[in-house]
Amino acid sequence: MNGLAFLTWSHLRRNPGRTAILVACTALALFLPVAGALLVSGYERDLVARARATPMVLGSKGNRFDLVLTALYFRASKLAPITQGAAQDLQAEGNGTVIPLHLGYTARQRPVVGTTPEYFELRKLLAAQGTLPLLLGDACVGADVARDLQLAPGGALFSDPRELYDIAVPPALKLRVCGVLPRTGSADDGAVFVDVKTGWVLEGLAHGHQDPQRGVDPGLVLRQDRDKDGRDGIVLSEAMIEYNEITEQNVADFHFHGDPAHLPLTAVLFVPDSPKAATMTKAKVNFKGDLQMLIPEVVVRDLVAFVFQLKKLFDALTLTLGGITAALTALVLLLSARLRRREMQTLHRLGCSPRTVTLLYVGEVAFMFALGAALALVLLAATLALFPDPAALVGAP
Amino acid sequence: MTAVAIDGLRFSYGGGAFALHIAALHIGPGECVACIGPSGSGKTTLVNLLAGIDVPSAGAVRLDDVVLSQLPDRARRAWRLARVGLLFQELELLDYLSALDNILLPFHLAGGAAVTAARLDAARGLASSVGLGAALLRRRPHHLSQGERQRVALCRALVTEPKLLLCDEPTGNLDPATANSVLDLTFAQARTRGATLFMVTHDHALLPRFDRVLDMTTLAAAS
Repeated sequence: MNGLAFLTWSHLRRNPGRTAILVACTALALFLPVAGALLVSGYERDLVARARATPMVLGSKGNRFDLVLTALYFRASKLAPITQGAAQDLQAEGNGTVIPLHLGYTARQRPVVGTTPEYFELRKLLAAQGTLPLLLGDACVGADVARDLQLAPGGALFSDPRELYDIAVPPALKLRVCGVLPRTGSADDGAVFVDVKTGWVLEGLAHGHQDPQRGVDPGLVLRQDRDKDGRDGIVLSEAMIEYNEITEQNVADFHFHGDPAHLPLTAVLFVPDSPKAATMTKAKVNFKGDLQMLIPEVVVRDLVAFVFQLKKLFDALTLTLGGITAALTALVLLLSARLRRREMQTLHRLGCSPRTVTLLYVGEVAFMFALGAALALVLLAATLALFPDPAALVGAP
Repeated sequence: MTAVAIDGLRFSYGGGAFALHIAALHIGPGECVACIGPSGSGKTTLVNLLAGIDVPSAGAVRLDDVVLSQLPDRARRAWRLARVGLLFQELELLDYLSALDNILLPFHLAGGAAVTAARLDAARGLASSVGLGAALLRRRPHHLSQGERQRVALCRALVTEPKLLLCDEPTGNLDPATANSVLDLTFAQARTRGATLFMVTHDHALLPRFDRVLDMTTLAAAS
């Protein structure tokens, strides 16, 4: 080993506390801003990428950020619902593909997304295990849900009842796990996907119970008459217990009440066939006034621009922290230099040139900086390996 | 043949009132010379001039027929590292090095390649000859007694087998018994290696042991 390197290493080794603190300070001063910048830019990239992959969103009038983030990240929100009729009208125009989204319910605290197979086409998703949810009561779970709840095709999970002690609201529904989606690093990993009709069952707009025409307890029949169209009508008591599981045996007993066009949807994803179709549809919907059609990428970029104003503050704080760390490190090194002045004089008297004495000290500082930088790189690599998906780390907006 | 020759030496610190003038001083090879004088008379300055740490403004310092004062700075440093052994009053051992590495310090400063296996063995042998065993050589200075540290410093001064051993009050902080013991070792090692010994001291009780005693007051007055 070079003589100077040997002396440097010996001094560092004999002062492990001081060396460790300085190396750690250097490493943190380098790691924090770089890791912060990488994670923030990764987060921004993920947000914009998911928005870009979702051409248009239809929803009720109101906060545009709320609508887009709800449709993209399945957030719980207080958006007014739109109707299935609105989605059907859009589909009837033939300008693109309509993908309904029914949100607002959870299963084991994970959002339940009621949709159609077109959603999986849009996201280019195929089931990693099992199948996509095609039948009433089927659920295809995201990769994180499957991992966290240890679910696989053939398993089951219950929806979360909205009101545990209110018997008037639909009970928890047992969902059959029909498939598991591959990991995507997006909000899809943490969701439970069901057919949109299953979503309506969760809401109580469709339900299943014993056929009143086939041997139901007469005590549960409150009234039986004919409607104006001459059809048999039966009013049953609320004591009639609804099915809390959809099986092959009872699936035929599940039915809707009311006009299907009035069934609620949280939002509709719209994939236009062409730019012209996109422009026309957007203009038409927004002109009507009761609904709004948004381009998620535009909305998310506005949101990112707004939210990331905070990043400037964060950068300023990081810079200040780095400056303070550098000043403290310089102070420690200065004090250390004063303590070592006599040693340096001895080396000079023995035959060391002033340049060599300076090199000895600068070498030590450089070595600690290099060690700190190496540690920062290791921390950075570990952070990126542990958190490849910044959006998953920070959470959806 | 002289080991040290000073002719017409003049030296002063920049801007200071102190000035040293030595007309002539000759020390023979292997001679043991004591240098005495009151504080401020220039004893340490003379040691620095003999070591090539300071350079005279006039005159010459000649060591083994090499005019040290005419060598460029780099050559003087190399000369000092290789040919001059220095023993200081405060010993000046490096606290973060083991006793062995303190002894090898001149080689470390000359470049890592200078610490060869042969030199390592020689350093161990030298340490052993002054009573520093392997266990003591692994310790750091603050885990050694004053006498042991003194011996480590002596070994550091001798490890390069210098022809000139310059000692600046090495026994100044020692009790008489330890001072005598250190002096015994220094004389013995210097004689074994044929080195010329120049020692600054305030301890007049030690003077009879030297071949010659130089009084800085007389030396300067003669000039």
